[in-house]
Amino acid sequence: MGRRLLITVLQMLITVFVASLVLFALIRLAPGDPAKLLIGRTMEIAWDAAAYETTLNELREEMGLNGSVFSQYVSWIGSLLQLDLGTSFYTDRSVAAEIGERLPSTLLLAGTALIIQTVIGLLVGILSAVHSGTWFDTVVRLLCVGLASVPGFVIGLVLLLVLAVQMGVYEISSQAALSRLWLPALTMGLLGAPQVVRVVRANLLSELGQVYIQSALSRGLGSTRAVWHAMRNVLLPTITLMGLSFTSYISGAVVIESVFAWPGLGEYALNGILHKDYPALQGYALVMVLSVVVIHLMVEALYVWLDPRMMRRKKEAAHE
Amino acid sequence: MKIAEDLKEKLRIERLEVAYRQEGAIQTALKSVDFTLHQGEILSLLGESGSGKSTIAKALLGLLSPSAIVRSGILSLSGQTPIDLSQPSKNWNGIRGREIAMLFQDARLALNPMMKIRDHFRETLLAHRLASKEQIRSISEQGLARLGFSDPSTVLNAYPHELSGGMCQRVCLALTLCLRPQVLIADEPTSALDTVNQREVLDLLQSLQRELGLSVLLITHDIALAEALSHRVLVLNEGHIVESGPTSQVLREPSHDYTRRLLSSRNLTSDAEASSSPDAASLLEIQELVKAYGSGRPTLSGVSMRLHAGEIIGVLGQSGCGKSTLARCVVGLEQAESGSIRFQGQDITYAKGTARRRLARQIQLVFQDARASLNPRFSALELVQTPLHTFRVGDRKERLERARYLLEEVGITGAAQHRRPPQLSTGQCQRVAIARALALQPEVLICDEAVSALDMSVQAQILELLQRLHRQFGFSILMISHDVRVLRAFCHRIAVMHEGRFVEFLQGNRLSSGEHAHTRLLLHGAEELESL
Repeated sequence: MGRRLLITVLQMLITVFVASLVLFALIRLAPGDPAKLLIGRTMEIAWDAAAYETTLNELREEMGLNGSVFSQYVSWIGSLLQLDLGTSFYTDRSVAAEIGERLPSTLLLAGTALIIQTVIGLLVGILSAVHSGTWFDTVVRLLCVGLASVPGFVIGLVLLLVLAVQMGVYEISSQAALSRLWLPALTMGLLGAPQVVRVVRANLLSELGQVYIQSALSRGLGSTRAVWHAMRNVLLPTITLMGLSFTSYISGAVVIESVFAWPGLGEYALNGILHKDYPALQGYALVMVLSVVVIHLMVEALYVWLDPRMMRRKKEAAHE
Repeated sequence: MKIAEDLKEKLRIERLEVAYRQEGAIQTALKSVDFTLHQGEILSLLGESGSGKSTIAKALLGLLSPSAIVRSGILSLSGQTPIDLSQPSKNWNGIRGREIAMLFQDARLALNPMMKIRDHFRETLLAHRLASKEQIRSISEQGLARLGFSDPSTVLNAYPHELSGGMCQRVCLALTLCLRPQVLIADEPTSALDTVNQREVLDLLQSLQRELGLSVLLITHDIALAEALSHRVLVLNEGHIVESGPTSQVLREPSHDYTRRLLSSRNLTSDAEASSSPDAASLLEIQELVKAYGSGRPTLSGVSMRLHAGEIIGVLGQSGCGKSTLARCVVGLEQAESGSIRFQGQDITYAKGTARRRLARQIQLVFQDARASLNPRFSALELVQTPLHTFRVGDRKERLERARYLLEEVGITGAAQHRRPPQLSTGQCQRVAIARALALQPEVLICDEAVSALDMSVQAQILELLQRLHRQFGFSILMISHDVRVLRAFCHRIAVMHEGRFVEFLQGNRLSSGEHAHTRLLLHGAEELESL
C-alpha cells in the first residue's frame, strides 16, 4: 500500500512538471511583448527611439525576459522551489500572495456549486429513474436539454436581471461575501445539474434491472430498500462526474465569475491574459494543474475506499 | 423417485397468461398455465430458453419487468386468500421471502457487489423482524454452517466477488432459508457452475429439502438434473405445459412429440472416429507454455500439446483450471511468460503487429457468450462481412455474397440475416459468431465453451453444424469445455486440464479409460448427474 502511494505521488509530480513546462512555453509563444505593453502605459512619450530601446531593454532585464525560454524556465523553477511564484508585471505584487487571496473564494464558489449540483442531480435523477416514462421524467428530460444548451452567461445574466435588478433580493457588488455567494453558486449548480441527473438516472435504471435487485425483492425487501441497494453502485460513476465537475468549476469559472463580479481566480487569469502578465499566468496555470491532479487523486482514493472490488483487482484477475 | 400424491397442496397457479410488450408488438409468453405444487415435493419445470419458464418464476413473486402484461392468473397458497396476479400493486409483504423464496441462476449476480455477505443477512433478517441486532450474527453463522461452510465468520466478512460461484449459490440458499420459506423456486440454480460445484449445491439442496419439508419448483433446461432430483415434471414449450406427470413416467415414456424431441437431443451423435486423422502434419504445436497473473500459482504451468490438421481436440477442465487462458494465449489476447506456440512451424508466441494480424486469418476464436461477442449495432450480414472487409477480401459484392453464403451454411436465412444480435436468439447468435469466424477460412477454430450457454437441443444443433462444417472445410478445432458429454461426442482426442497443466490425453471414444484421479473426478461428477 505504501509503495503504491509513493508511486502515485511520483506520477503526480511528473504530471505537474510536464504540464508546467508545456504551459510555460505556450505562454511565451503567444505573440506580444509584455515589456512593450508595460512601457506603453508607464512612459507616455516615446519619441526618442534610442531611449525607448534602452528603456525597453532595461525593463526586459528587470522582468527577466532577456534570456532564452529555457533559462527563464530554470530560474522560474528555481524560485518555485523556494515557494516564490514571482512578482506580477502589472500589479507589482507577489503572485503567490495574490493567488492566495483569491483561491479561497474560487474554492468556496466551486464547492458550493458542486454541492448544489449534486443535491439537485441526485434528487431529480433518482426521482426520474423511479418514475421513468411518466410526465415527470419527460419534463425533467426537456429541462435538462434546455439547461444544457443555453450558454452559462445567459442564465447568469437572466438570473441577475430578475433577482437583482427587478426583485432586488440580490445585492451586486464586488466583495466576496457569503451573502453574495448563493446566486453565482446556484447558477453554476443549475448548469451542472443536468449532467448529474442524466448519469444518475441512466445508471440507476440499469442497476435496477440487475439480478441482485430482483434477488433483494424476492427476499421481501421493500422497493425503497432496493433503490438504496442500487444507489451504492450508482455512486461510483457519480463520483467520477463530480470530480470532473469540480475541476471544471475551478478552472472554468472565468465567465460566471466575471458576470457576477466574483473576485476569484478566473478574473485574475483574465487580467493576466490581457496584460500578458507572465508570472501571474504561470502561477495560475500551476495552481490549476495542481488542483486537477489533486482532485483526480481524491476521486481515485474514494473509489478504492468505496468499491470493494478495487482493492483486490489483481488477485481476482489471477483466478481466471 | 416416488411420487408424493397423498401430500397436500402447497401452491396452485391457475390460468396464468403473460405477454410482453416488445417494440410496439405484443408477444405472448405464457398461454394459460395451470399447475399444482405439493407440500414437500420437488417439481421440475423443464423447458428450453424462450419457453417461458423464467416468466413463471417471476410471476409467482411479482417480479416481472414493467413490459410484462399479466392477462390472467390466480396464485393460491395453502391457508391464504388467493391472489389475482392480473391486478397491479398487490401487497407482496409476507409472501416474498417468507412464503416463496427464490434462487437465481447466477448467484454471483444475485448478491450486491458493494455489500458484504454479513450485510445481506442483516438486512434480510431485519426487514422481516426475525432477529434482534444481537442475534443476527449467530443466526447467519448457523445458516451458513448448515450449508457446509466450515468457517462462516470469514464468509460473512467477504464480498461476493471474493467467493466462487458455488459458494455464492450456497450463500444465497442460506440467505433464503433463514427466512424459513415454504416454497423455494430454484431458477437454473446450477447451470452457471462446473460439474463439481454443481454436485455439491444439488446435494445440499436435496438434503435440505427433505430436512425442512420444502416444496421446490426446480426450473431447468437440464433433463438429467430434473431426472435426478424431482418427483414430478412439467414440460413447457412455447408458453404451454405440454406434458406433466411423475418424473420416471414422463422421461421414460414421453407422450408428447416435443418431450420426445427434447429427450433425443440428449444423446449427441458421434462421428468422431470416422474422420480421425492423426497422421496429418502438426498444425499447432504448444510447448511448455507458462502464464501467470501476479504472484501465486501460475494459471498455466507448462502446457504442451499438438494439434494436427483436420483434428478436433477437446480441452476438458473445471472452471478456473486455465483453459480459457490457453485459448487467449494462442490467439494473442494474452502474452505467455515462457514456452512456445508454433503455427505451421513458425513461432507465434510473441507475434505482434502485422504478423499477429495475419494470424487472425488462420486462427479464429469463438467465445462462450456469442451475443456479447457481436457488436449489437451491426446486422448479421454486416457482422460476417467485417473480417472480409478488414482483410480486404474481394470487392463489396463478393463480400456480401460470401457473407450470405456463410450465413446460409450456418442456417441463418432470409430476414434473419438483417437482424441485429439483440433480435436474434442465443443459438442464432452463436451461429452468426461461427459464420464470422469461418469467413476467412481459418485453419484452426478455437471454441471456448461455445455451446455451454445453450439449451440441450440447440447445443446438439450447433455441434452438428460444427461437425458438418468441419467435414466440409477441413479445419482443425480446439474445443474447450467443462462438459464431458459434449467433448465425448465431438472430439478425436481429449486433453484433461487441471491446475494449469494437462494431466492426461485420451482418445475421444475411450474417455472412460482415463486413469488420472482428476479425470476420474470429472467423469464421476458427470456420470452421477446423468444416471442418478
